[in-house]
Amino acid sequence: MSQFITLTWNKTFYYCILITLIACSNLSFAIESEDNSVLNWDKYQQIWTDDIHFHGFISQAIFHSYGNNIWGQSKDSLSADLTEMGLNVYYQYSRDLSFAAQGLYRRAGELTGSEGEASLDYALVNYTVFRNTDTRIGIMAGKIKNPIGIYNQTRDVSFTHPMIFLPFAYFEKSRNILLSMTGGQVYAEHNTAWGDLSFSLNYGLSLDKNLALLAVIQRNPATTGEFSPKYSFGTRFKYDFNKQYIFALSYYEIDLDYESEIDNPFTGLNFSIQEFWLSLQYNAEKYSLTAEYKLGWSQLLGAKSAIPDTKNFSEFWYVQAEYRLLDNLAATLRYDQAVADVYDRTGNKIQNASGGFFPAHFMYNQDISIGLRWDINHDWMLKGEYHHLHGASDVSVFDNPNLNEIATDWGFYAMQISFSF
Amino acid sequence: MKKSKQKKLYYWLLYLILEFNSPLINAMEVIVNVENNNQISSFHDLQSIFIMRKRYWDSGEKISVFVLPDNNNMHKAFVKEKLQMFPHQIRKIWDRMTYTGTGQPPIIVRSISEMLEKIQQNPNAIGYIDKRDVNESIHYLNLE
Repeated sequence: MSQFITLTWNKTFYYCILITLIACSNLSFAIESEDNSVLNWDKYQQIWTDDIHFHGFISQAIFHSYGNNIWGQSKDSLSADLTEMGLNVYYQYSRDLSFAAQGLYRRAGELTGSEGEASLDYALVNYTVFRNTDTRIGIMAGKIKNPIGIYNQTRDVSFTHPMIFLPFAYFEKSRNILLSMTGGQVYAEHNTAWGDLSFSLNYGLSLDKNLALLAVIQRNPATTGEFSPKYSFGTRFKYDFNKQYIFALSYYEIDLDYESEIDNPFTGLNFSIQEFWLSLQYNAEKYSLTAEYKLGWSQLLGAKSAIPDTKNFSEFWYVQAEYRLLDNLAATLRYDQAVADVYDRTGNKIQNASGGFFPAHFMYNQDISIGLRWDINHDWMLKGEYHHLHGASDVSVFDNPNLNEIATDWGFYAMQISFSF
Repeated sequence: MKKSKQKKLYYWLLYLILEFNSPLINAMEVIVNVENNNQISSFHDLQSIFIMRKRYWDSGEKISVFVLPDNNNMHKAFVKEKLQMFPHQIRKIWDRMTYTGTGQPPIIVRSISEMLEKIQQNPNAIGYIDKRDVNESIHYLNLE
């Protein structure tokens, strides 16, 4: 019952946001029409029906795993601890000006707790500064999703990717760092007969909820203090030929400062991460091939005594083949791997250096997975998949608090039903 | 379809944009209001509209794009032959816009009769029909 009440509160929270946004966007029209003594209700109604659009989605997944828990108590059991729900509104005010916002509710294992988290996913004003037949240059302001690689912007919308689980490069622990920034974006698009070029530059503050990252650094799910974001930036260059060939380069640099009310061994810590992504995709009628390669550099500097200054160089890549057996039924096969430190690929160095306290398997992960996606109709979709994993760098310490029990070889089965409108 | 609607349709022009070789396609027609029929001169123009890149007619009026659901055979044929894309590609474009706040997808209609009704009611609309499904009382204008 208490869970139900919390859910309702979260929902209320983002319905409030949406109602406010809609009210604001309509207000501008009310003011404009003050010149006329009589409100033009027909126009008002037409704006409502033609220019303001709502869309949304909801996804619920279930898991059964062996070896380790994946989002909830799934080990040798069944967990339903992944729920994603979004509701968005889009309003095109004029050819060059639009407003948009999305509220997101997400429940993802112990990290968010059973009550989940509601957040404003994005809320932006988009203004096209220059436009001709082939070129558009514009700016966005507000909270903007980061265009990184192929899936980051829509990572929580199951409809936009072939499998329930995204590759390690996108995985949970770095989700909040890379998800969005509150600030601005400058973008440019140029369309030619031989393909479309697009460029974006984002600048702002990343999300402040970085519990997952903090837990990794403190090696403790019961984290103390929090990360406060500093101004950061990211950029992506993309070439796209008819959505058939996609080539993208992304670079992101995110800065965070550790803050705690009480002086502790982590006081003074600064965390920064730089990521470079190379993304390739080929889409044919029957199949799609996707590959992404990511290099990450991270620095942990200035902690009072908890950890020495550390620099780290990580590597992620995957290859994914999607085959459409029928127009609405696709099978996907993926090999995915993560290396937390390229100078210690097997994790043996750190295991030996820590006298066995830090197990080697926290330094790598490999995943072979196979999945099916069935688009039942326009609104409903069902996914099912199996993952076999070797390594534990992406095992959540929230769902697996007893670090000594974490297994090196593990796997899970997952199913997910999604609805969109 | 009711007779009154057929009469109304009489005043609407159905505009043939491109011809392809497939016999299936030759039955597929893009339909727009006569005022906007000179703004689509190539398949790139048509593609720009349906991927929601070109969102306004030259008159300054917003384009209302109507499509059938993804699993509709006519939709699949239209996307492949008229837009030279695959349905899953155009779906990706629409989804990205929808869920990043950068645009909105076309409006989905459930049937051809609904498509005709919507286009009839809205001078800024664009959609498509299968010629074989529509009553003979519709007048076509082939500008090519």
